[in-house]
Amino acid sequence: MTIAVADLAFEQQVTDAALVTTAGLTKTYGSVRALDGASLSVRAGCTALLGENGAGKSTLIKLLLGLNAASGGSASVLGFDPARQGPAVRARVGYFPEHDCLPNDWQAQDFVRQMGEVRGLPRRVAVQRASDVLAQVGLAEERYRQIGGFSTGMKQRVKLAQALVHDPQLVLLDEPTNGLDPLGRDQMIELVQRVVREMGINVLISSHLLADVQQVSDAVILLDRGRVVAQGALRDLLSDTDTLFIELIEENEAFVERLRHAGLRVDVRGRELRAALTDEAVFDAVRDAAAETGAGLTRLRRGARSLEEVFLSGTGAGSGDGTEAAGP
Amino acid sequence: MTAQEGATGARIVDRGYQHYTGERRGVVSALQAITVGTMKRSLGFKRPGSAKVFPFLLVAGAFLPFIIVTGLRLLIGDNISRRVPADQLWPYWRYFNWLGLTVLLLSALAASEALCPDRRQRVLSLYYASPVPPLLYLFGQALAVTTVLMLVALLPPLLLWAANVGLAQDPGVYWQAHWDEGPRILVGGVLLALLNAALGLAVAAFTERKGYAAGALIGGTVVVSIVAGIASGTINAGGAKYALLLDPLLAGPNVARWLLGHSLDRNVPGPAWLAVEVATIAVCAALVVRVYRRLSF
Repeated sequence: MTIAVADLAFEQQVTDAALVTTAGLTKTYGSVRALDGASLSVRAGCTALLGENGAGKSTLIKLLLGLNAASGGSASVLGFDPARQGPAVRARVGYFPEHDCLPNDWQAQDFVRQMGEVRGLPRRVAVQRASDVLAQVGLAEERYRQIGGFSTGMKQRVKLAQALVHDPQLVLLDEPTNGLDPLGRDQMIELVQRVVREMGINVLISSHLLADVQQVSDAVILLDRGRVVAQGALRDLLSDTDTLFIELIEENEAFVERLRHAGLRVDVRGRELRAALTDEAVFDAVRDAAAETGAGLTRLRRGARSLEEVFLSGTGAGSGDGTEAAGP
Repeated sequence: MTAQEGATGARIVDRGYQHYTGERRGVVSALQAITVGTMKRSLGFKRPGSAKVFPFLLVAGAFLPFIIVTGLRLLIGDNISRRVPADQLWPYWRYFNWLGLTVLLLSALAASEALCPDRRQRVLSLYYASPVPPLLYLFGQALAVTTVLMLVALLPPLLLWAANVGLAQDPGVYWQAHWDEGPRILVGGVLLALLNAALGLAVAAFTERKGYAAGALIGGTVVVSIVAGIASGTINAGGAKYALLLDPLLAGPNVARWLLGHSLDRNVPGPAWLAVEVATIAVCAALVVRVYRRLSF
């Protein structure tokens, strides 16, 4: 036991603007590549780590915490290498696991205080901060009750409180809305927003629920089967995907060709077309193409692709190469 | 949430979230938190009333001889018996025999409380996600269990020795003649606590359920003890007496008894008991570390 957290001075500055960076980070379990050359960057604010179950989100979080050893690549969290400086990373980072992790026969106050002490707070401070963060998550009145008697939503709040008690620079939230009903989910998302905007703590939140991510995050990293398929600021991802939805009376190849000839990027799904809405001239091109080919239009709608569509298509701003920072 | 009273009587009742810029302590503080937390819970503090009963009974049982002997001397004086000197009413070696089972039972409670709930409820994943290295977590739990066991394995005989010194007709003379009993009791008590802590933790490391851990430790110890006793008494061979060394209930008390200069059952040498005790502690510690190194979260 040679690592003394006391020696890990908190005043060390993060020289890189990014809180988290990885380069070609890989983790294999036998023949399974849970994380496959992930290169990403996370900046201040709230960044969402989005992907289906099994996409590698939890694996990435554990690698960032230094809990597991990477099979390849490198990572930096708050300027520290989690593989070699795990305790330094974990002293500065809060962790909200996906799974249940609370002792049922402890009072919430005692448990959060214990987690604060374990992460380096003096006892008196830990007691005070445990009360404070439990109040911040809405459990001021219930803090002396045993956790075993709490609802799922209250337990998730305790998990959040223990992740915040030592005032981390970054909190890793692994599926915080799991198991919650719609109301509880909204409340948890609201809490996460407060953590970022009122408490000023950076958050990396993993989720497979697109709606949650869109509500709370400034930036998004999309993971699919261990690979980063897209990353960037949320508004960039969505603005770059402004789309004109065109519905025809019947399929019309000539209409499509005419649009493409006019320089539009068109995605054809039977009678439904999607054209990249790069500027207002696209409307003129559609009008002209319809007039020239006699195509009948039943619907013309302007919109943006949802994150789900970005995710499903596997393309988006800053996709693939993983060199663009995810940040607001 | 803090409250500040101003000159107008207005109060700020919520300053919102406050960042912490003060001192951050190292692993020693974390170790202290883990150890103290487990000690308290092992003894039933911060837990329902039912969880306090057994620890209380065991601790009370451990102190009973000290309380009775010292109480009698205080009440009646040293003329309790004409045949036995007052300081020999309850010899230390007998005290350690009395404590052997008590320490085992408390170990079953404390060791299972130290390790099982954290694994079953996956709280361990949070400890592992803290700056505390896994081995330090284990060390903290072992320290907690050992300290709790020393409460019954060490403190009562040590207090009895202190009482014998203090209540002697001439404490100075008595001290000169018996000072060395204190360190011997200390070493014997610490070893007894360490042995039982190691056994309890080794068993608890293999299960997430407190009941299974406690049952396996008590049941296993009793069975091995019986088998060792039968083997040493029935096998007609020169070295059969050494089968007694397998008895975990006898190891701790016999080492203490040897340290205090008393003869041992069937003349099994004291160093052999000591070797068995130390080896058992080492093997159990290695087992626990091995199990926990393989855990992943």
